[in-house]
Amino acid sequence: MEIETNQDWLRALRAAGLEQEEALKDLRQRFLHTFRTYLGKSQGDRRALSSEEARQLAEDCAQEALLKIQEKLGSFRGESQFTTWATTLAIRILLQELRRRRWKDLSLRHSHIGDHPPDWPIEDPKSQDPEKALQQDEVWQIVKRIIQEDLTARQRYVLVANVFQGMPLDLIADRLGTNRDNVYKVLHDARKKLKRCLTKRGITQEEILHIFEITR
Amino acid sequence: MNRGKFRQLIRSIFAVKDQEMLCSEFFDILPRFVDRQVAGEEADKLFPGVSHHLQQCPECNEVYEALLKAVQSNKETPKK
Repeated sequence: MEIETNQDWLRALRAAGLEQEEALKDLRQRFLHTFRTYLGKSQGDRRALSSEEARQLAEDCAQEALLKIQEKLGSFRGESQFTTWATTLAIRILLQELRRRRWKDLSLRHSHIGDHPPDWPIEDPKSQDPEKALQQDEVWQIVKRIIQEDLTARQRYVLVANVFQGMPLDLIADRLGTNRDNVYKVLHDARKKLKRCLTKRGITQEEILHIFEITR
Repeated sequence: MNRGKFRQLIRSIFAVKDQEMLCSEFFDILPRFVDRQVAGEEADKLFPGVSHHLQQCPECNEVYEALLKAVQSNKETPKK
């Protein structure tokens, strides 16, 4: 039987026996399809995972998502399609795991996490035009100084770890013994301070992007 | 960091607002936001603050992009 409405889904998932089994099977197929599509299109993850690892990851995350959905069923308020709500939870689980794995590789490149901003922020070398290269260096030195001198130690840690080193917000929250919302607030405060300090020095977004030859 | 991420960093600094939606608030709204968007409604106007959060938080944006594709694909796939 086709499960169509939110009420159908809730009834089926709360039912015992075959009806619940069918609903879980349907959800599992949807999640696996979503995960395979995502993993197939994400070039970075495709390079990092063998096809067997990707298959196993999709299976594990689908299973975890089904457990989570059953656990959180009572919190579904019926304001969206049930399948959209369930898929949101499933995708969050997959991406959280992917970010954790990406970070495991990235973290090896950094001897100190959240310590100080890089000497040079982008992968590309400085401009070949000596005058522009000097301007780039001057602007970056100002940004670096603000990060090092005006941000609090916590703001600096979150900004550097997340933005420059690629540590996921959830893992920063775990490390700091807090939650993701609090980490986001710290990052938000760091951005506000950077904006205030740069504006005070008369530096605009357009100017920085122009100096770094970022036009789009 | 590539140039795209550097541009995102600079834009996120200058686009910062005094009050911003938190990630938990965003995830609470996200399924409704995507449903409305896929239905062709003006989700940005119905849920102010979501688009700004998407610009400011790349991790939440990654979830949004994947969800939008999944819901669109589900809508386009004819039922058996």
